[in-house]
Order: sequence, then structure tokens, then C-alpha cells
Amino acid sequence: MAKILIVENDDNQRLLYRENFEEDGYQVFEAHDGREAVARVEVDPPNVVVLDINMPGMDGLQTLARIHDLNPRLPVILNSAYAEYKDQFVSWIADAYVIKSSDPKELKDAVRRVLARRALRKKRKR
Amino acid sequence: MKATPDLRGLIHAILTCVTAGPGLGFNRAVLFLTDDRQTHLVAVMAIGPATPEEAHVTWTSLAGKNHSLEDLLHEVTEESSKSAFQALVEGLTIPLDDAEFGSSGGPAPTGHRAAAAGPPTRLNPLLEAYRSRRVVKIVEPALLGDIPPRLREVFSGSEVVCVPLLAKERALGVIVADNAFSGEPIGEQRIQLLQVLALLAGLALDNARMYQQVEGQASQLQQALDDLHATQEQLIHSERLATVGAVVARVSHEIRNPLTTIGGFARTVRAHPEDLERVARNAGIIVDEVEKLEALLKEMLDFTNPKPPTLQRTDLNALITTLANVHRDELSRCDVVLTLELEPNLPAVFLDRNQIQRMLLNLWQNALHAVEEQPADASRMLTVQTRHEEGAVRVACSDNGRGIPRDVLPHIFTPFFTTKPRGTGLGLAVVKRIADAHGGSIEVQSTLGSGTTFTIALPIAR
Repeated sequence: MAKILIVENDDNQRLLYRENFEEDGYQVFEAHDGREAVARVEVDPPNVVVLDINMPGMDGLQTLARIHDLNPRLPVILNSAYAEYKDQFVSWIADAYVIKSSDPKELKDAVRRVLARRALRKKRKR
Repeated sequence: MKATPDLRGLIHAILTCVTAGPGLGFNRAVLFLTDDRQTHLVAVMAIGPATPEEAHVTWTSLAGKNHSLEDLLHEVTEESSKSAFQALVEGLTIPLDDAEFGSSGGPAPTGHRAAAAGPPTRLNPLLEAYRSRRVVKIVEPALLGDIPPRLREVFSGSEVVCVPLLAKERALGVIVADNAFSGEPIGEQRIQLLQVLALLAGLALDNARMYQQVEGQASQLQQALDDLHATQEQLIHSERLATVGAVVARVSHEIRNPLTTIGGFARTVRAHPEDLERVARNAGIIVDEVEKLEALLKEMLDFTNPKPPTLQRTDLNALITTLANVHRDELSRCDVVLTLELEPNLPAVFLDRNQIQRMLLNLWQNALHAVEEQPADASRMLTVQTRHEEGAVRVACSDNGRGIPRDVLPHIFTPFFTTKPRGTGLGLAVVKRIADAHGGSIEVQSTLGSGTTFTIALPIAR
């Protein structure tokens, strides 16, 4: 069972993603902000991170860079209401960039794709 | 020097004085001026007949009529005195540079030069007159020196005199005159008169030139001003577009977040209609998010369509106390300690109570965000002070939050400007607008890491 870390400061949205991913059989962990997310990755790294960008304090892009420093192989999906961060250099190290939508399909597809790619890479190494 | 119509009129008048019978009575005259770059002498105008036949016709037509010089100056225009001579000479250029038709060197001779008295020279008499700023008279036209062939052709029959046009010791050009058709020798007295005329003409030309320059500068300034206006228009336009862009970006994100939540939970309801407990919870969330959207909409509409304040005599201290009581619970939930330091016997102020409440709430909300960003163990303080000061009542809202960075400070009242993850960027813009609408003013003092104070002054007298 793949572990997903949802980093989102909006309570309702965090709940929404938790329920949606749990329904699909993922084990879901939550972080309210970047600091919490980095702490979580240090202690108990998930298989994939879904990361909001606009958050108070350490924003998603700063968090992304920190996570990448800690664990460069940990896949991260940026999930934002903003499209313009896509062009920022640091966004390129994310494995996917999904614009928030009421339909969770795109985000779910991105998670599946990223995890499948990771599984394939692991298989090749063996 | 470029000859504009005004300048040409002046030059024509000068040459008319040189050639008219009641004037100096020379047969022909040409006026040369230096060009703009001071590299050439240019024949800007010539007056006089081209051939003896033409001369005969002109003189006969004028004979018998007792024209005064003044009459002639008025009657004879540049257009009416056009002749083949003019066409032949005008536009001829003589380089001031020695290289082409240069002098043989050495200092320019002084006084009138009688060619017969010295050895033949290649010096151009026009240049000589120009450079030495003295009259040069050529008695023997064959010895005209090194001048353009066309000019040599024209001045080949009789004595020629070249007089410099001077303005304040500076040579502007040269007048060349002769008596090609009458063959009359050019006497000393004529030359002296011509010199006087050339002196006056030089001053007049210099004035005209300066006037022209001033006019040119004025039109350049006008042009610059027009350009500036155009640029400003463009800037305003592009700034407006940029503002619209910023508004659209901000609003669309503010809308997208609640929509994501609303849509997401609505889908959940559709997928699990049987789980009534969850349906009820989701409905609650949807209602909350819709309320956020409505609040956003109201804020936008209030901002774009502000109502003028409805002024009422108000005890500001009482208003603040009531507002503080209503919101104290909310503030203490966020661990914020609200302190009121209200000056007793504060004079009553005329203000729109709803607007002033909105203004204070916006400031408190800002303060709340600022203190929330401080470390969790730090005390979170919000202080509201009132003070009576020379014709105004001052309200100061201070927090001990993170402070506003120096580069952000100039933009805080700009509509739709925000550094926050969520927010319209209208909070402080509304605060400023309300202060302005009350004829008041707003000041901000902020120290990074230790806090911010907004002070609003509201005038007492109405």
C-alpha cells in the first residue's frame, strides 16, 4: 500500500484529498505546511508527496527544494490553484504539476503514473 | 544656418538695400551664410539681373517711378525679383575647409586688397573676407582667386566687393556685390556704407537666427512634451492592463480554491449518497466554501463600487470597545491579547460607523496574520490606541508581528497587491480608501521582526 503525504494548509481540501486517496487504497498522511512536511519526510518518508504551493511560512516551492535535498528520489507532485509557478525553475524538479480542480482524476492519474515509473525504475535496478 | 521663410524675408530686404537705386545701388548682390555645421559658405540668395538685356528691362521698368527704398522693400518680394542670376548662383557652396578651395596660407591680409598691387593669389576672396572679418575688394576680376567655376563665370566683368556679415565679432557670412552692368567703379564711400549695412544685417540675422533657435527649441520641447504625454498614456494603459491582469489572476485563484473543494465534496456526495452522515458533513463544507466565495464577491464589489460614507456623530472609543467585545473571543482563540488604550474624553467624530468598523477589522485581521507568523511561544499582542491631537482624532493599531519588509512597504495600499497565500490584496486598499473618504490620513511604521503600527487620523471639525 503506497504512502501519500498530502501537504495542504486548507483544512477542507486536505480532508477532500485524504478521503479520495484513502478510497483508492492509499495510506494517507497529512502536513499543514512546509515545515511539517519536511519533518515528516525526514522521519518517515512516504512513497509520494502531493504538495500545495501557496502556503504561509515556507511555501511549496521552498518545501520542494528542501525535500529534494533530503531525498532526491522521493517523487513530488505540485498541486496548485496557480498555473504560473510551472515556469519557475524549481518546479522542474517536481515529477508532475497539477492545477487544482474539483475533479480529482488528474491528480490521481499523476500519482499513479509517478508511482508506476518509480516501481519500474526499482525493478530495473534489481 | 537654415533659411526659414522669415529669415529669407530678412535676407531679401538686406539684398534689396544693397541693390536698390535709392539704397546702395549695386547692380547685383549675393548673400552667403555658413551652413549649420559651419563647414561651408552657402549662397542663400542673390538679387540682380543675369544679363545686360535683363538689366536694361529692369531699369526701364523702374525708371520714372520715384521709388523710395521703403516702397521697394514693401513692393519687391523675393518672388517678384526672381531672376536667372538668382537661379545661377543660389545654392553654390564654398567649403570653409582649406582642402578644396583653400587659401595659400598665412595670415589674412588686412585692408582692401588691390589685386594689381600684389602677385596673383589663389586665395578665395569670399573666404578671406569671412576669415579676416574685413572687406575684400577685387579690382581685377580675373584674379578672383580660387572660387567655384560657376561663381567665377558670374563675377568676371567688373570690380567685386566682399563684405563680411558680422555679429558680435563673429562672422556669419559674406555679402558679395558688383556693378557688372553699369561698370561703375566701387568707391570707398560705397564700401563704407555697405560695411555699415553688413554690420546691421549681421546683427539682424543673428537675432533672427537666435529667434529661430529658440523657436526650434520650443518646438523640440513641445515635441518632447507630446512624446511624454503619449508615453504617459501608454503607461497608464499598460498599467491598467497589468492591474486587470493582476486582478484576474488573483480573483481566479481565490475562486479556484473554494471551487476545488466544493466540486470535490459534491462528487463525494454523488458517489456515496447512502452515507448520510458524510453527506451532511460535506454539505456543511460546501456551504462554508460558498460563503467564502460570497464574501470574496462582496469584497470585490465593495471595492469597485464604494459607497460614500454616511457620517454620524460618533464616540470612537465606544465604537472600538463594542467591536473589541464582539471579536475578543475570536482573537483569544488565536492566542492574541487585545489591549485598548483609549484616551478619556475623546471628542466626538463624524464618521460612517460601518466603514470605520470595516477599516478596524481589516487592520486587526492583518495584525492577526502578522503575529501568527511569529514563533508559537512568542506573545501575540494587538494594541488599539486613541489620541486627541490638533483637530484630529488618531487611532493606532499596533501588533508585535513579523513586520513588513522594506521593499513591500510602498505597495501595501495598492489594490490586489498581496504577499499572502490567500487573500484578495484588498484589505489595506479598503482601509486607505475609508480613511481618505473621511478626509483622514493613514501612516504606517514597521520594523521587521518586531511589529507594525497603522495610525489613522480622522478630522474632528466638519
